[in-house]
Amino acid sequence: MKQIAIYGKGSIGKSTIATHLSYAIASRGKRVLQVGCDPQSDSTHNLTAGHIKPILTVLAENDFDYEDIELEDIVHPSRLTFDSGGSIFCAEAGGPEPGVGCGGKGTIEAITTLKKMHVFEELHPDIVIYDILGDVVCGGFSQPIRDGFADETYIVTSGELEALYQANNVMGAVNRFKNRSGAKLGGLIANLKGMEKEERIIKDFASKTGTDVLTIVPFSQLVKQCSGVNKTVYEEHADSMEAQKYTQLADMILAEHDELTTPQTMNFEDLYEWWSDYVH
Amino acid sequence: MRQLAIYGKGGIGKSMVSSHISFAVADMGMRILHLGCDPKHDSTRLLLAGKMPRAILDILRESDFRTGSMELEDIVFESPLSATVSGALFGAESGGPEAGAGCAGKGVTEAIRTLTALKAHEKLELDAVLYDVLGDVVCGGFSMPIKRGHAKEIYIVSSGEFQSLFAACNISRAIARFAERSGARLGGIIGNLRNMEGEQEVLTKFAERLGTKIVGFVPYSEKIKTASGRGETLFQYAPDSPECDAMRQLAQNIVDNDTLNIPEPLNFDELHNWWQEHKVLAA
Repeated sequence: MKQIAIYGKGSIGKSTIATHLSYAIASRGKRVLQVGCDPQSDSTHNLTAGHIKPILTVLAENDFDYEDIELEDIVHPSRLTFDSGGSIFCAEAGGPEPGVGCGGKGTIEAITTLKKMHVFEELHPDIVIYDILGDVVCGGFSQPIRDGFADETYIVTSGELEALYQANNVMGAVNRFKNRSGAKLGGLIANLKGMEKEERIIKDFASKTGTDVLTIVPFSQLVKQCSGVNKTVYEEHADSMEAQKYTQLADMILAEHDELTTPQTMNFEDLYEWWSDYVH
Repeated sequence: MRQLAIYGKGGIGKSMVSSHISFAVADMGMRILHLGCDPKHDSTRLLLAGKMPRAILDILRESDFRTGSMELEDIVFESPLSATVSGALFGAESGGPEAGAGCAGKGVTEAIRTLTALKAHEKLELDAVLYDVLGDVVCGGFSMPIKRGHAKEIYIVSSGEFQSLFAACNISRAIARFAERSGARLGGIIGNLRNMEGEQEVLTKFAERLGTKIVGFVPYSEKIKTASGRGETLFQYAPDSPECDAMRQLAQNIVDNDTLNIPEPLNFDELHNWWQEHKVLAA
């Protein structure tokens, strides 16, 4: 079983990437478990028939007593079926009540719960995809890297300063824990927002930080339109360039690769100055 | 003393908007401290001629979190723009944790503790404090200004996008939770437009649904982007533009605002259903 983490700042498109990766990998006949680790709890929204109850909510309703919880309460099969024999399972970590506690607690609790309930043994997925909010790379949200759940970390970024800043922070977390947990960076996934010189900015950022850009997903209305009706682009436009990009990316991630890197981070002042030179 | 907080999801433009508010308020003759509460510590960038001050948390780390030997000047900076206004404009940044470790909201808590210990409010004779706070993760840390009553009036920067409205609902839930204990109230929504069709209408209806109002719209504008790129506000880059007038009006509306409410937020399902009825398409 391979476990990967997809980090990205809120609204960068990390759930879209994770969802299409799950689809592409299931199309290859594999069993996929996608775990949304964003308090917003809608990572798997386009894969399920309705809104699924987050693990943290299920736990709270059962006074955190695992005895009373069934696997079906926290892991839900996707509405999608695959001729290849592959399948997708979905779970959402959830988050705290606004204003109290720790934002990363959902991530920690969810992963602990999956382990305690032997979800991996029962579902025996080929791959687990953690889709994680990367805006605040605190102890909570970096747990999959810290405790070695994610063998490989991938970061979704655009050319925007905010996105590169969070990418840089996630790299910092990978570096911090590389010895302790064996954390490795798989590379960057560029999800373009339509800025000028955006591809160059992201490629330059990758070379400055010693990592690779695995794929560049162009700014696309098509994916947005599909998402608007809760569909993947594979269902609506199977032959589109967008669909091909996701499939390519999935195959790259599935392949064994030993070129995983430990990145070089930039400090924010340098990052800011470097980025400003591009946009002026 | 007015105690304002501007919340919004990361990347929504809250630092840009709050820098304009701080400048405009100082230009009206008030003495204001603009405290950035985002780990990225670039909230005050447009007010400091492109420089970024050192974060309070970084300075505290060097002194093992003891404030005894610290001076107010170590952590609070007077803006170079202060000389151009009739009031006074000060800035400070809370900072955040090292990547992967600790609590991200800690910077906010520590910054407020340090400013209080160094008597910033008395020494600088402040008329107003503005907290610019990251609202993506409304955890205990980032809701400190609301929870402990440091901020009495909360304004939320939002576009018409779903993610942004979701963050606004979460922030509203934190306000509603602590309203009685801390006296915090929602002052209104600041619409930062993203060039979506029908965006003003969606935001106006959303504000009504929350039990609040729009205190101003910031137009979608290339001028604002250019000014930001240059490390300036519109008050320096294009003071006579309609965009700058919109900022002046926004600040005036906030200063004059006398209707503060306890919001009635929507949960995720309610917002999702509401969104299905009201959603707009990107232009």
